[in-house]
Amino acid sequence: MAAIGILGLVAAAGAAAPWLAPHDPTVPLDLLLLKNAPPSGAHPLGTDPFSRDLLSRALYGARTSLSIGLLGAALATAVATAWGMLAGWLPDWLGDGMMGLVDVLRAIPQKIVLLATLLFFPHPSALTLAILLGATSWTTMSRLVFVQVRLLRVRQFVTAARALGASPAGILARHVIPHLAGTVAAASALLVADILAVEAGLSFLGLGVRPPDASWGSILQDGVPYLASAWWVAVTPCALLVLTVLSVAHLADAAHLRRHRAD
Amino acid sequence: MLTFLVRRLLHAVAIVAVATVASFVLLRVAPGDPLLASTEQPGLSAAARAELRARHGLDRPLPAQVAAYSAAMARGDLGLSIVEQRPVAAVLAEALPATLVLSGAGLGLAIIVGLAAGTLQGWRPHDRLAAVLGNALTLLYALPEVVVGVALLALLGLRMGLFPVGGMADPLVELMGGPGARLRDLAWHLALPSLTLALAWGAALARQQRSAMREIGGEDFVRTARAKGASPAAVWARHAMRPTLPGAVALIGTMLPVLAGGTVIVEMLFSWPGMGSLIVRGVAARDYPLVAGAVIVVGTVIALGTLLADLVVLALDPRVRDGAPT
Repeated sequence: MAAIGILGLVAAAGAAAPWLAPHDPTVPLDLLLLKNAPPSGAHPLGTDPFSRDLLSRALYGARTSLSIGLLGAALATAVATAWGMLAGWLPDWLGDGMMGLVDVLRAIPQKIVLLATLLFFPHPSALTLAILLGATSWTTMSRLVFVQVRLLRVRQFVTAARALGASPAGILARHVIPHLAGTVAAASALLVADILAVEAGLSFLGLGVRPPDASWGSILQDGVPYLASAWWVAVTPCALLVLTVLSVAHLADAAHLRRHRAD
Repeated sequence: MLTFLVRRLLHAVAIVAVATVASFVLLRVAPGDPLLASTEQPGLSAAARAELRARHGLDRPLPAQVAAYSAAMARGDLGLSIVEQRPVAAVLAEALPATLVLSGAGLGLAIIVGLAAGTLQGWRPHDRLAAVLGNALTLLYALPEVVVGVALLALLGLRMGLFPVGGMADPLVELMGGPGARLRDLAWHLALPSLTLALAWGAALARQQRSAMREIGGEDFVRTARAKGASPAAVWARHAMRPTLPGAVALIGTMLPVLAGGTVIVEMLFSWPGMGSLIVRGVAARDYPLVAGAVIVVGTVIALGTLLADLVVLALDPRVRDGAPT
């Protein structure tokens, strides 16, 4: 319950960022007097090295980071389900080949693929980032779906449906997908957490969301050089990331447990 | 056993092939001609340019080009780095050992911590310490490594001043110290970055080891060993631990890809002069040959690493050796 509350709060704050934020997140307020100012009444979370209001940046950062996480995970889920289902349903030799390809892709670290791809996107938009992250995160989940479909394919209710003359598409939609829903839901929740973490990492490297735009990773990038003197800059995005990621992971766990009890 | 070996060998070859093709595509799609900045010089006549292209094989069909490119790669010719103005192979050769040392230390630490925590938790499910350890690792597993790294850097590095916060060596020690002092200095600098990696990787191992250990604990042969009066330590060492090892090694094998390419963020955070920092620098400066070369090297290291893990599994697990389905 706490997890749902935290997630709802963060999502609402991100969605309402344009109305909630007291300042423009990208505009320096006073480069001489307000650099790395500690939290105060006027700036509840303090200001960053460019004298921007951290609360505003954190709110807009929630908007950017969460959109990338949700969109990327949705995309990866769609690709993973389609590929895994197809590979599981098609004849063994073809499906095994499709999964062999997935295994090879899985062996190459996501970060390396992303970095190489980002060569061609000097200023990736949030949408581009979501697509790139989604396109590089689907392999593990497709393996999960594949294994499930292979198991379902030989179950009696599938054979019965086939004997009754149901089309393959009909069987997949009516008899296979409902059985996948639990696995897919739990796995895609974990994907959201993963993509949030990877996006934070990329933006921390300066290759994801670019300045002056705010994401949790880019705020962290601003804050790390000043860890010793202005720790509040780095603490804000870290705390938000930890709360969000743990809540998502907790929800995924809960979904997983519920499914196991139902089985 | 033969099919297993052939399949794993094919897998390794496929990884290298994908990496090579990917890096070729990187260079082809990159602005300008690959491997050759000179054809882009403005003063060059069309005829001279065509001649240069022909000499470097750029007028040949694509498959022939890929073949020639792969052959050059195999000879260790990775082209010229744009930012460094040196052969890419030389630049990478300097960075690779730093990354291998870092990831090796991280993985070693992860194996020790992960196996110990998982074994303890699985073997003695009611042990308080084991439960606390396991839960802490699970928590850390969920966190982004950049956050874990920043926390370690801030607390152990800056706040308590226990460890250096960046770089690979103290310049003074590097210059004047003997081999022993230099090694100690390296370990000192390794502490925070390798711990960050170990915390992320150790949790996965701990989880797997915990469930493997729990399963083994209920097996008949363990009960028999207990019943015939063997001491708990002997039961654990002689009967229970051994069957869990192939699974752990296989999991460590799947972690090896991370070894060569997963240290990017930690390297940047702790200013570690390895492949990760190099790749990030290459991407930021649009150094296509450097990034392409790095992709190939990472792919090759991964392929070799997975193959090595497969061989260890083969040596440890008689079921795989005798050709049982895995």
